Amino acid sequence: MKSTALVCCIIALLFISCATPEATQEELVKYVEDEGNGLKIKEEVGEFVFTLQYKPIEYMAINELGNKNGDTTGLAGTKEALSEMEQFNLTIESKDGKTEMLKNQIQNDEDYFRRIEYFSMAAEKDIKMISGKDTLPCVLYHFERSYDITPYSKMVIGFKKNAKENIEDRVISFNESILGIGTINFRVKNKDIKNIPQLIVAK
Amino acid sequence: MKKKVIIIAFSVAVFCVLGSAIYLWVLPKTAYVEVANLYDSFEMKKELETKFQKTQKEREKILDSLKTELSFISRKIEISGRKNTSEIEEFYKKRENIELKQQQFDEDTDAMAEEFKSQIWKRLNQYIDDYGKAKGYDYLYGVDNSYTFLYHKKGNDITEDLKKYVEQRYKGK
Repeated sequence: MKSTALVCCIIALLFISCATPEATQEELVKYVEDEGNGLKIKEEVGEFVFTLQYKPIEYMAINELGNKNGDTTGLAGTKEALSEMEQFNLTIESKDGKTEMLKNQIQNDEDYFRRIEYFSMAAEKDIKMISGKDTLPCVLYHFERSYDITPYSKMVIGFKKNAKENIEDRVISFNESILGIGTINFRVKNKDIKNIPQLIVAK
Repeated sequence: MKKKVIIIAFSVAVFCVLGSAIYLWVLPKTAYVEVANLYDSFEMKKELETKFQKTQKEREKILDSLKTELSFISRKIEISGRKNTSEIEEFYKKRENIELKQQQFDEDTDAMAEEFKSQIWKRLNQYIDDYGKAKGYDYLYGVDNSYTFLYHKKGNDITEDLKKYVEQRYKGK
C-alpha cells in the first residue's frame, strides 16, 4: 500500500515537472526577452555589441497584434501566417551606447555610405543558420536604420523551417565584412526553445 | 600550565589560518597563456587562413592565365620576325597590365592579411578578457618568444582551458 502511494507520488511529480508552464502575453514577452532564458544572446566584440533575439511565433504574433493586455482575438490567424519561418532580430550597437552603429569608428562619409549599402543590400547573403548538418540561407531580411535616434540598428532575419528543427540547436552565423569583426556565431539551444512557456489563450 | 599551552596553540592556529586567508585574499590571482599555441589553434584563425589561401590561389590563377597569354603573343612576335608592330604594341600593353595587376594583388594581399590578423586579435582579446573576469583572475600573462617572461611555473599554465573556452565562445554560447 505504502509503495503504491510512493509510486503514485513519483509519477505525479514527474508529470508536474514535465508539463510545459503557461504564461500570459506579458509574461511570455518578458520570458523571451530575458537573457537568462537563452533566447536572447549578447556578444561583445571590439567596439560593437551584437544581440540576437529568438522570436517564437507567439511572441511575434503578440508584437504584431500590438497588445499585451490579454486580448487574444486574431492570434490564431497571425500565428498561422508566421509559422512558415523561424525569425530572429539581430541588433548591432555601439559599445559606448551613444554613437550610431553605422557611424562608429568610420574614417569618412564614404565609409558611412558603404556601411549603409552593405546592411541594406549585401548583409543578407552573409547570414546563415546552421541546424545540425544543414546550413540554411536567410530568406527574410529587413534592415531598420536608426537615423541617429538610437545607437543600434536592427536586422530582422528569417529562415525556412526544416524537419530537424525540433531536435537541433540553431546556430546563427553572421560573416560580416564591413565592421572588421569577421564571423560571429550565436547558439540558440533547442532545450531553451522547448522550455518556452505556452501562451494562455482565452476561449 | 596545560591550559596555557592549549591557549597558545589555539592562538597560533588561528593566526596561521587568518594569515593564510589574508595572504590569499591580497595575493593577486595570476596565470599564464602560451600565446602562439592559443592563436594557432583558434578556429577563426584557421577559417580566415583558408579564406586567405583560397583568395591567393585565385589571384595566382588570374596572373598565370595572363602570363600564358603574354607568352603566346611573344612567340607569335618571334615567329613573325618582329615585323608586326600592332602585336608588339599589344605585348607591351599586356605586360604593363600584368605588372599593374601583380602590384594591386600584392597590396590587396597585404591589406587582407593585416585585416584578418586584426579581426583574430580583436576577438581573442575579447574572449581572454571575458575569461579572466569569469574566472576571477587579476593578471593573465602571455608567454611567447619575446623574452618578457624568463621563467614561469608550469602549474600555472591555463592555455588548454582558455583554448576550450575560446572555441566554445566562437562557436556560439
